[in-house]
Amino acid sequence: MLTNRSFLFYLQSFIAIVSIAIIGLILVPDLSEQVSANLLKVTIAPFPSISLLIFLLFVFNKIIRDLDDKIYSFSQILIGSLVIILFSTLIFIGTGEALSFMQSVDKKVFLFSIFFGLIIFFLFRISNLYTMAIITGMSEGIILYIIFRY
Amino acid sequence: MNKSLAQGLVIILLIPYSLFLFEFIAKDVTFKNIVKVIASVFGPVPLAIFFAYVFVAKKNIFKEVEETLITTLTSFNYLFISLLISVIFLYFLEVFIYKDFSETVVPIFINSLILMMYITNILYVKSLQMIAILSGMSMGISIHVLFIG
Repeated sequence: MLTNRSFLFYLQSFIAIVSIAIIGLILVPDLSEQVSANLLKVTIAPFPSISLLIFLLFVFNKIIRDLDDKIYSFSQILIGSLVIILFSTLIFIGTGEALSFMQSVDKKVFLFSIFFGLIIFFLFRISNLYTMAIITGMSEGIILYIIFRY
Repeated sequence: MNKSLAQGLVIILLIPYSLFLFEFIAKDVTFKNIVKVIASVFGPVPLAIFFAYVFVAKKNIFKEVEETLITTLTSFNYLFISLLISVIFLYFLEVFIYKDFSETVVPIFINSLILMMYITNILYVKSLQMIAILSGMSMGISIHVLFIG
């Protein structure tokens, strides 16, 4: 079962979504009070990214799926690992920058829904080595932020 | 490569790993420490999945390694060289750059990364040199944290 590339892709995107959600819940200290205080804003917050996702799904009709068993060349593996390093450093720096000016919970829900929409877009339209590298870099950067800075 | 030997190696590698875990949690039990330990234990799982994704099609290249005297000696050389390099590197890292290396959660993270790499190596790549290098790095981290740092 673990030798199937599409299964590994689905597992990776599931792990990324779960890790982003859990860490977002941990980094909000008083969640229930804030949600009950501004309930309307929290329910409205994920809608811009959902509309953006639906627009992107309409525009990009072409489906790219390179998930069959073929051997990658050395330069492709090198570019993939460079993409992982780039995205994990971007998320590692950007999480601290975002948490410094986003104290309320609705902005965090908005930011999380953007990443969620990006992963859904990768699942439905473009799934190859480089998008796999982008999803890996996102989840790895958030875990590195928890280990070193939290 | 013998499969039961590989499973035994993984079990031996689990011992210093659990020792680090208990040593870190026993200092003070707070919510923050537990979150950090869980993140460092399950942190390298996405990297391991990416590693498996890349090397899916390569699984029958290193099929059987001949266990002659020369291959054993070369793999022991790899182990000792990586052990020495990791011990010296960690010593200079702790002296000059990162002062509280052995008090934080970073050795647990590196050890679980090595464990995940072990498992994916046994399942997919099956190369003997990589097992030797990973065992040497893990032994170096354990020796540094337990005896030197």
